[in-house]
Amino acid sequence: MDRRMAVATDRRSLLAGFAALMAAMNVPALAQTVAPDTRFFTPSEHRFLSALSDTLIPATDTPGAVGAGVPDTFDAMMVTWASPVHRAALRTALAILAGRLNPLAGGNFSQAPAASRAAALSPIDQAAFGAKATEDSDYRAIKSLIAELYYTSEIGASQELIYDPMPGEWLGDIPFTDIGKTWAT
Amino acid sequence: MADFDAIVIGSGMSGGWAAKELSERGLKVLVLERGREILPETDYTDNLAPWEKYNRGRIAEEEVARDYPIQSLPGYAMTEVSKQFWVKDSEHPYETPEGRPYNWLRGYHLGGRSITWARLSLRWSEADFESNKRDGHGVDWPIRYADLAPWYDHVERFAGIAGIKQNVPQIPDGQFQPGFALNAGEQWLKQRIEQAFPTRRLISMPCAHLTSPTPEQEALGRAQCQVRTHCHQGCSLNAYFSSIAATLPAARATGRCTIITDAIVAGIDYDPAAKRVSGVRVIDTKTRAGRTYTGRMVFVCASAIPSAMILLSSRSDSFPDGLANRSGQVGRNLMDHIMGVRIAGTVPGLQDRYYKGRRPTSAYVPRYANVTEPRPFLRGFSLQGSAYRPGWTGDRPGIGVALKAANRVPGPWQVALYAIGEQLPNPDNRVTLSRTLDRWNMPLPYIDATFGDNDRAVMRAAREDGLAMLQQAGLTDVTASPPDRLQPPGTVIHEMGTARMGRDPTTSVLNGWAQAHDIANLFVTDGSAMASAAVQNPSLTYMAITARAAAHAAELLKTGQI
Repeated sequence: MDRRMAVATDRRSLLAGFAALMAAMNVPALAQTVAPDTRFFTPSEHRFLSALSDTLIPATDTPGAVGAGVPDTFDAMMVTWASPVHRAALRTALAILAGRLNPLAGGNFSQAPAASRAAALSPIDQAAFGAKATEDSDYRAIKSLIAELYYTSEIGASQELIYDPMPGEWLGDIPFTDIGKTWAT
Repeated sequence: MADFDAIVIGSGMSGGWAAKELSERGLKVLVLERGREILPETDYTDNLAPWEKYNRGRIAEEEVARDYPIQSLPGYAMTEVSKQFWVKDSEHPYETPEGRPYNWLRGYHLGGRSITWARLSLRWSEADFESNKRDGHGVDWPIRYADLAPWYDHVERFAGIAGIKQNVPQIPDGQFQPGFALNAGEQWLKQRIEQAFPTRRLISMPCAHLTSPTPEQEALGRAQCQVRTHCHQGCSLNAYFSSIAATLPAARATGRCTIITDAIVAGIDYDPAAKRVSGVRVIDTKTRAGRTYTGRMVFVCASAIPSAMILLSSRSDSFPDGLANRSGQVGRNLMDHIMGVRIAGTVPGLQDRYYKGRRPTSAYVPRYANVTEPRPFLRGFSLQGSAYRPGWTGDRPGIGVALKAANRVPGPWQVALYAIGEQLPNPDNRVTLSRTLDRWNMPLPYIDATFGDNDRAVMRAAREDGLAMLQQAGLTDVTASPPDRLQPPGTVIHEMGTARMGRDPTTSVLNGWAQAHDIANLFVTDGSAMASAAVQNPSLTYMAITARAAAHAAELLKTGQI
């Protein structure tokens, strides 16, 4: 089955979220000190993205998102893939998310221990997928992108899941236990 | 003395077959391809792992907006590692009326859409050839299944079609290599649908993949399909049929086939004294230099829209409305298949079953409307899709260890089916010459096509039937796409009809040999020739029509009739 590439980087939802939140909140302007090389995020933003990625997909018996290079890949793709409008929307959405998570994690999400970060993110994640449809589309889009970058990495695809570059045969009806994990592709 | 015995315009699904069949019968053949050469070692990206793909396969957003606003719409074949097989809309515009979009999806390169096609290979049945005669829409096909059956045999054997003999009369079985079986979810669905609806079937679709390569196929450098479904990136194994993998190598092997790329056809020359076409005028896309190649026959295989444009642009005193256009039908009766209906649901159970391999074909409900079930509308639809277990996703609740654990187990079996409907021929659906010129001073196509009342009725029925089938089969969470929402014409990428076959030269362009009624050495064998659309994916039928026409044309040449 073809993997659909349109995972939820729904640019419209990010823009809608951005506009709605700007209207509803007094969001302080972010200092835009982009480093002179091709990296997009500031050191502080990168630390938050790493902490968020690690909270979503930690190291277990396999490396997590940080071990799989997800924050750096995310950062690079802001330059090589995202449009200027999408970059700005994602930057703002991450800042807003940080603003929500910091007080829940004892003041600084990026520096909090793993357990505190998980405790802070969990209610936000539950609400975003909850039946009450706050429909936190910006958070869901960020989470989807982090997951995609993890599960399309060599670690995520071939260590955490199972990746076969050349199956060689089609077996349409076999016990799941013969494979044991989700196919990465 | 002519430069060539035969000039073939286009190197895709049809042009490749014309080149092979004509050169194998001793003709000296020239193939003209407007696009660039394909070099598999650089153009094919099928050996990349997901993490090796630039931007993980996503095309930069600004690039999509600037270069691929239309080509990116279907989504399934347009990625960073397959965009090389699709035109840039920014370089190749066309025109449509305000409010009547047409998605013209194609690439300009050697092999054309034989590289990017879905490889689904179904025969037409006798009833399909009779459709126009039966309900009066379009003109009667001048051929029947019996005329094409031996040519289906011929092209299937050479191309290599993986299929399972299933004895469904509306999709005649072909010359098959071992097929790809339905998976666990589909077998469950098949049993439930066929029990609840005895007039309906669910089968595995035959596809143009090698599962047991013949010595002939191996000699061409083709290997067995490795079940990766990286097809849209090109196949370094040549495991699925394309012009690059199969027909062009066979043509080249004769030593009698010349292939010239980067050559746009400006027009076909007509000799009124001989009542024959005499040659093809060509523009070099890079230098803009023009030259003419002379030939004893011309095969137009540029696909339905460009072939019509070439004929319309080839005006003369003898053919003021375009070459071979005495009927006025060139460019008219443009058809595509209809899409826009998607039905989905969750299969209960089977959580202990899974699959190995990324199967390159689909499950299929062949057309039953007005075949085994009379309906108040004309013609019908098919449903194609699959059962599958969703893989990893970030779009689910849960974080941390719980998220990883959840993604380690595939999701419950899902079914997704897409309806493909038969569009009626309508002479007002047409392509004409715009006054706007492209960079080679050729007129842009002006494409004007819409769906009609019967087309909408067909798709309404497909949606209702699909919902009922999945519900009665026992799936849960059954959903359907919004009612009456169709994709714009062109989206299925099955353009046809613009130089239709028929029995009467006043209402059709070609006879049953795909030979122009009025010009004995002019053949048009691509989708243009189709008098109706049926529901089957059409490429296999283009192959058979082309091979049959080429054999006939070679015979005419040998016996001095052209």
